[in-house]
This record gives sequence, C-alpha cells and structure tokens, in this order.
Amino acid sequence: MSMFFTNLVNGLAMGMVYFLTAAGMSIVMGVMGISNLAHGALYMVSAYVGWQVFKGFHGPFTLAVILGGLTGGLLGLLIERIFLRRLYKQPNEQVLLTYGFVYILTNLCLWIWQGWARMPFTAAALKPITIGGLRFASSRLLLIALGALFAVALWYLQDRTRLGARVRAGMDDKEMAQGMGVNMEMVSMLVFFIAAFVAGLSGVLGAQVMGINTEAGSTILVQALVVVIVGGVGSIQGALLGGLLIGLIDTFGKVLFPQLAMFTIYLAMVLILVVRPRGLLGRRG
Amino acid sequence: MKLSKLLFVAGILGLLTLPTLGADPIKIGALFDYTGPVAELGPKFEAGLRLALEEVNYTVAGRKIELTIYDSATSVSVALDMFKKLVDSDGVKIVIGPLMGDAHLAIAPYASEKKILTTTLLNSMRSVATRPGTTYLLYPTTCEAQTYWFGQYCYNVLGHRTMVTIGANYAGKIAYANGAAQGFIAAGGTVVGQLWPPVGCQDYSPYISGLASTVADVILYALEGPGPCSRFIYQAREAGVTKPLVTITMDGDYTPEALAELGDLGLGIIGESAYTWQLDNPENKAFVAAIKAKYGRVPCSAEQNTYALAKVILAGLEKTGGNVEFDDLWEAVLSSKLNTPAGSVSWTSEGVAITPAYVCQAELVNGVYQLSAPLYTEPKLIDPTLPSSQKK
Repeated sequence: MSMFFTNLVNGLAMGMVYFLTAAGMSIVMGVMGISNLAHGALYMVSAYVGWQVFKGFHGPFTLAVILGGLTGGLLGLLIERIFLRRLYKQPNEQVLLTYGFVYILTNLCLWIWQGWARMPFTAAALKPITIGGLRFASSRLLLIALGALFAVALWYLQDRTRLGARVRAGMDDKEMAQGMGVNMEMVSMLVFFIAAFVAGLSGVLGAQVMGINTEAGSTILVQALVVVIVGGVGSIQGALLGGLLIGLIDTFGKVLFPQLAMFTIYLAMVLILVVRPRGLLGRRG
Repeated sequence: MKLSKLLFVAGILGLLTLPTLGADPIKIGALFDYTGPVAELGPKFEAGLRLALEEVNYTVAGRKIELTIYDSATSVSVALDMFKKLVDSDGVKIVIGPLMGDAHLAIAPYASEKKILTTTLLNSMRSVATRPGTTYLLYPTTCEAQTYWFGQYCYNVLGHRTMVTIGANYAGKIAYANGAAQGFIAAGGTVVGQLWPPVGCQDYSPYISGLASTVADVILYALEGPGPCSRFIYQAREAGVTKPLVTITMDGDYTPEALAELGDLGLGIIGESAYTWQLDNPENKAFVAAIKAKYGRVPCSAEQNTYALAKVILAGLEKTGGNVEFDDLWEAVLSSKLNTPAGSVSWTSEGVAITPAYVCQAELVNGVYQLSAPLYTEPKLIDPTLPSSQKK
C-alpha cells in the first residue's frame, strides 16, 4: 500500500510538471494555430536561469522562479514577434523554425552552463515529510500544491476574465472576434508571453525534482506534446487532466510494466485518440 | 651573392622539411558526445586526446597528424553516420570512440569491412571483441570483466549477501550490471532483482519506490553517465532509500562537477573504477599536472582514457613507421606494453586491453568533494571468457 501512495505522489508531481509545460503549448495551438516546438527549450533555459539565480547568485527561490518564468516569457515573446508572426497558417515552417530554436537554445545552454547536470537546487532546504507513517519527498508535495494553484489561476484567467473571454472568442472564430473589435494581435502576443512564462515557471519547479540538463528540453517537449494530444488542444482543463493522467500512467507503468517503460504513455495516447480523436477535453472546430 | 645565399638557405630548409611535407598526414578521427545525456563527457574526452597529440606536436614517425572530431550526440544512428563520414569522406584509418556500447555494435561490421582501427572510450561488450574480423580495441577491458570482480568484492570484502541492480536499458550498461551480478553470484551472493530504466530517464522514482523496501543488502547502479547517476542518487536519498549504494565506472560518473553538485549525497558510495586522479605513479602525476595547468581541474577517466588510447596508437604508429594499414598497425598495437596514468596496459589477441582496476569512494577534503585514492587495487583485469584466456 505504501508503494501505491508513494507512486501516487510521484505520478501527480510529474503530472503537474507536464501540465504546466503543456498548458501554454495547448493554448498557443488553440488561439494562434502555432505549433511551438521550442516550448521545451524555454523550459530548459528557464530552469538554468533559476539555478543561476539561486545557486550562482545566492538569490531567494521565489526570485529564481519569477526570473525563470520571465526569461521563458520574454524569450517566447521574442521568438513570436520576430519570427513566428510572419509564419501564421504555415504549420510546416513553424515546426521547422521552432525545432531549430531547440538546437539553438540547447547549444546556448551548453555554451553558457556547459554540459554537466545540475541537481535540484533546493534539495538542502527541503526535508522529507512523513504522513501516516509514509515518507514523501517535500519537493514533490510542493510541486503538486503549486501546480494546483497555477491550474486554478490559469482556469480563472481563461474562464473568468475579459482577456480569457477574448482568448476563447479568438479560438472559436478569429475573424469574428476581430470584427467585434478585439485586438487579436495583442491577444496573441499576451497569450504567447503567458504560455512561455508558465513553461519557464515549470522549468524551475520541475528542476526541483529532476534537476537540469541539456536533454531536459527535448524530453519534456515530447511529454508535453503527448499531454496536449491526450487532453485536447486549447483547453486548460484538458492540459491538467492530460498531464495528471500521463504522469500517473508513466509512473505506474514503470512500476507495473517496467519492460514497457518506453511505450506506456504512447500506448495510452493511442487508445485515447481512438476513443476521443479530439482529446479528452479538446475544443470543437 | 645575396640571391645565391637565399637560395642556399631555402634549399637546406626544403631538404630538412622534405620528409614531413612530402608524406601525407595521418588522419585520425574521433567521435565524442557533445550533446545528449552524456554531453558533459565530450569535451573531457577531447581534452585527453588533444593533450596526448600536443605532447608529440601532432607528429608521429615523421608524419603530421590530422585530427577530425564529430559529435556522436549519444545516438547510435548519428554515431554510425559520423563514422561513415569519417571513413568515406575524410579518409581516416583510425577512429577513437564513440562512447555508447550500442553504437559499437552498430559500427563494428562497417569498421571490419573497411578495416578501420577503432577504439572504445570506456569498455564495451565482449561480443564486440569476439566477433570475427574485429577491428576494435576495447579499453580498459570488456564491460563484463570491468565489473565481475567488483561483484565479488561486494560479497567478499564489503560483506553484502543480497543485491539488487538498476542499470540503464542499453547494451553497455546491461553488460556492466550483469558482469557485477555474475561476480556477486559466483562469490556466493544472491541477486534479488534487476531493474532497467530507459536511457535518458528523468524521474527514477517509480523504480526507486521498489528499492525503498527491498530486502537486498546493497543496491548497485549502472546508469548512463554523471547526470543520470547523480539524479538517481538524489532521488533515491530523497525517497528515503538508506541502503548502501555501490556503483561501477565510478570515476567516469563522479566527475569533479558531478561531485560538487552532489555534495554530501555522494559521500559513502563505493565503486569500481578504471582510474582515479589520485593514483601514485609518475605518468599520472605528469598527466594530472598537465590537465590542471590547461583546464584548472583534475582529470577523470574520460580524459585519461583518450590520453592513454592516443599514446597506444602513437606507439603503434611509431612501430609501423607511420604505416596506417590495419593489419600492420593492429599487430603493432597489440604487441605494445605501456605505462599510462591509469597503470600498465597490454593487450589480448582479441584487442581487449589488460589493465588494473580500483575501488574508490567520494570524500570531502578541505571543503572539496573528490574521488579518493584507491581503497583496493585489482592488478590485472583479464576477461576469463575470451578465447585467448581459455587457451591459456
């Protein structure tokens, strides 16, 4: 039983990292029709920046998280403003361009921080927590709590604010929204920034469990794509559900069917796609 | 008068440089990982190789050496593509690397077909050495022989009776983990479980959850490089695993950078290693001083291995008078016996190195985390299953 609860926490924590990374990607795809494969690289760069602030400059963790997020957001905004805005409705070019950024940003990280892996940098400050005789890593519990907090914040932003209404309007019918006076250019810019900002936050938080290395961006990108497909494009709730599901399937898959560790999440993705081609909570259209 | 003097000097200079300029350069290729899960090792392998070549001013047997290095990206397909590029486009006859055992399996048939002298960087499976027509030099030995004795050490010296292994799911680490497991069983121990996480695994916690309650006395891990090893140690300790951890290829995985990141978490872990920078021999002292002077850090087995391999190849080339034809060079290398920073090296007829191995641990000295001097030395590792060993 203890193994079940331990892995439940492990799976939920990983699920929250996947959710935070995939949420922005999903909304960007939904609102702007952009497949941003550099999303994982933004996660990685931000994680390194967080490490630099906390370990290199001995700054507080909150500052590391905020600056990590801002780095992701600003880098994402730059990519969107300088490159991607010229490539709307050109999916092949978007994919090639943003995948190129994966290489550029990975090599930039290699150049600045070199290839050696960094450990979770709050490790010394976080002691394990014992609940009901079971020992849990506090970094994972913290990740679950923060993930839930961001899920509520993102849901509120999308479903309860004027910006969220404009985003949803844009997703449903961009031309109509523009016709009604919504500045879709500004909305797209803001959405891209927020998406990349959340990916950056996710990078710093995810690093407290997995550490940081130059592979992290590519690895998380694949997981995030699976989450977007499973949860459905353009939905925060879908990204949350997809993230948690993939986190749990991946974790319990490794425990129960270790020989299939490489494939369990893809098997789950295929099965869900067969039943729900739009993903679990994907928007129509 | 002035013109005739000038012509005379030019003539003399021309005669002096004739042997070097006249001969084509010897082309050596190298495949190191600068990207992928073991990206941090690429520059270290390159540093060792360049140091050895700089010591001879990139010249051997009167011929200049031309070095071409490509990124094998911790990928079998990239490694094979780059190997073919080195051979077919760049015309190299000697290739050092790549690291991953799976890549050796992919490259070996092509290397045999083209008769290219090829080296591993840190062991390989014995099947690479025993395949007919092999052109591979396995250094420091086979994966299985590298760890077999350490399995016995865990039983006989450390006193463990039951073991669980966790190894990255690719040919090289499977062979390492199995070698140690077989040694442990041969000594009288029991292996109660073996786990194989995929290469590049970011979260080992599902595997670790089983280790927390394992009945095994000791957990042996064999993961694909410093990053994954450090991540595993951190996640295991974070999950409350208090059982002793032992490891293989310790020096390659406990780089100075990895040790600094791990801090106290790395202390107390014992492992086998083909090298430690604290070895007390003149070759090593000079080598450590040279790496320190050039890079400001102590070396690990990554630098040592390419340095030693380069020395071996240079010795072979000296013997052949710069002839790079495979049959001559192979014979010259296998008959060589050298003292390297890691200790003496000689060769079996299959091209497997015979080297010493050491037991080390991480220690904290004057605020610096470092690998210890050998706690124990196994003087000569010879894979007992090789045909040449069985004939003896």
